[in-house]
Amino acid sequence: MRRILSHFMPEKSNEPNIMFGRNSNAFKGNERYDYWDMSIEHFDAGRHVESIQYFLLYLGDDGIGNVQMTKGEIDELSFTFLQGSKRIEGSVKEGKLKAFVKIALTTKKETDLYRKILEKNYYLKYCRFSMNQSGMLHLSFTSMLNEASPYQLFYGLCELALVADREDDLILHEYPGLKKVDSGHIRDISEKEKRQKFEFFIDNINKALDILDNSGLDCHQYPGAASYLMLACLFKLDFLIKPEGPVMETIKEIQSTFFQSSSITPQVKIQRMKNNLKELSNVSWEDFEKEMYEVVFTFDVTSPAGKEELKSLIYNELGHMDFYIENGYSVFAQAIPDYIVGYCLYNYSLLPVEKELCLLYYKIREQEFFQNLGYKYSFWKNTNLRKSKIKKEVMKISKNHRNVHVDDSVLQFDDALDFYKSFILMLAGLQIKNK
Amino acid sequence: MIPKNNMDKTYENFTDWDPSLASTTVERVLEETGFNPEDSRRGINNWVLPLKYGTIKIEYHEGSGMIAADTVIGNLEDVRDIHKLLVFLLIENEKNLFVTLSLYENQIVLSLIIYDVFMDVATGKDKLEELISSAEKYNLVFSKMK
Repeated sequence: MRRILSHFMPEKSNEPNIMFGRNSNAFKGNERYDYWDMSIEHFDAGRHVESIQYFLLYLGDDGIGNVQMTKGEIDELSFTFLQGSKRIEGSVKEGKLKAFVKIALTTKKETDLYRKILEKNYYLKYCRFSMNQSGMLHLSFTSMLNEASPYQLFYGLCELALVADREDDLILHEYPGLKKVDSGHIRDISEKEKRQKFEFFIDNINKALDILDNSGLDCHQYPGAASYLMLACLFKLDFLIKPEGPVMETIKEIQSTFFQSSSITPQVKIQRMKNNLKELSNVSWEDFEKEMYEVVFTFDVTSPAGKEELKSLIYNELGHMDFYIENGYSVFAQAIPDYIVGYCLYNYSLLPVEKELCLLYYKIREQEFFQNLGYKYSFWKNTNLRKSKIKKEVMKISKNHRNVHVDDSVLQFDDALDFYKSFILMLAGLQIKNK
Repeated sequence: MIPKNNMDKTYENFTDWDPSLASTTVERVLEETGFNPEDSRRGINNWVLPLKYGTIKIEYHEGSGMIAADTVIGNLEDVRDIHKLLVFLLIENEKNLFVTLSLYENQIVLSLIIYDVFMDVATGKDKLEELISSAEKYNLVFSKMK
């Protein structure tokens, strides 16, 4: 009996309970897809309330408890779901579905803010900013039940959730006279952890800037090197630190400006990115600390990557390592596997096994940071990698995902740079077994 | 469906236009709401409807499936008390079911967005009528705020 139970119980772990990266809803189990199909089936049959119930079951994730639903009178329903720092409330009543998020409470005349959110309304496709008589700012979505198909609900509620989660922190930052509301579900992070994260954040940016200034490589001539280094740094910080406000938004802007096709030369882009990095390194503890809280997500901002897409990205980028190794710029060569891991985590909803391996990559690469956070393991003995510890950890991940074959034989342990490169190759070589 | 003779006239102006199902539905909605689709047509997937106080511009983006109907209610520069107007617009948005009040540069815009996959003639008609009646209501309110 005990053996059977242990199969269902999570393995005891002495590791701190810290979330890295943003939760992904992209890979749902078969049961969840059944809920989606049921939702469509009920909608097509005109059973709209049942359709919405199944849709909410589809959105839910038992592991994180992100969706709550209560049945009321006949054909009535109320629900809540979580997205980052926001709680979305909804009801089904009198033939309509209404969902809204409280953004902030105004306490004084905020003409500039009102103008700004009304301007945002012009670009929203499913929802709108509004205000009630008490000065509470809302973002809301409404649909008649006969139009509330799972597709309409998905796109509408997704826009509502993503915009609300992004805008509330930015608005509160820009208009300090507003009162924060509806953030009761946020799990606070200890002061010690926040301090560790702050130090790591500032230290990593300063290190990257220092390398750019003193490495001896002419970044004007080789802008690619500088971009690998800075983007790797930003993606890593977003995943490991997970800021939830203006810092998160700045990281988003920096990388999207970089990847945007424009007439600006790579050299100018690099200089701008460097300036932005310098600005980020000046963030005050008070502002940084406000962005440190843990939340759960119902909708994902990223989409899944195809296996081939990921493979091709990895092989293309890894190919650039040789140039920097051959010319003695190992620090820039190292930035390439770092960039690949960071880019994948930032831009794609990875498979759980891929995400766990990427986290392990960071645990090895940034061991001191993890140890400062309370993690007990050690993957290094002085400057040497501990082969057995790392292999054991890879196998642990592999065992948790039985439909995936992880080939750890490709890992090379003689040299750190070779190891990180081989780790990325192991990631590219993951084989998904057909059930 | 649009009567065959009308369809032929469409092709006189837009010879390469093969109207999508959604465009055909939009024109049926216009007919049902009392507008002449031919007179309203301004280009491929574009229509302009005359109102008592202005016009409604309808655009259908085939790629995204979005059908957007916009009408300009007025200009912020013409208003005496901008703060009061902005509060009014936000509070109205709290009450509105389908239409949205927004600002584009200084223009006060009343919009309706429907997606082609979710639109049929009946729902399109209901929503367009709400847009028209709301536009008339807000034009009256706006004229008093000048």
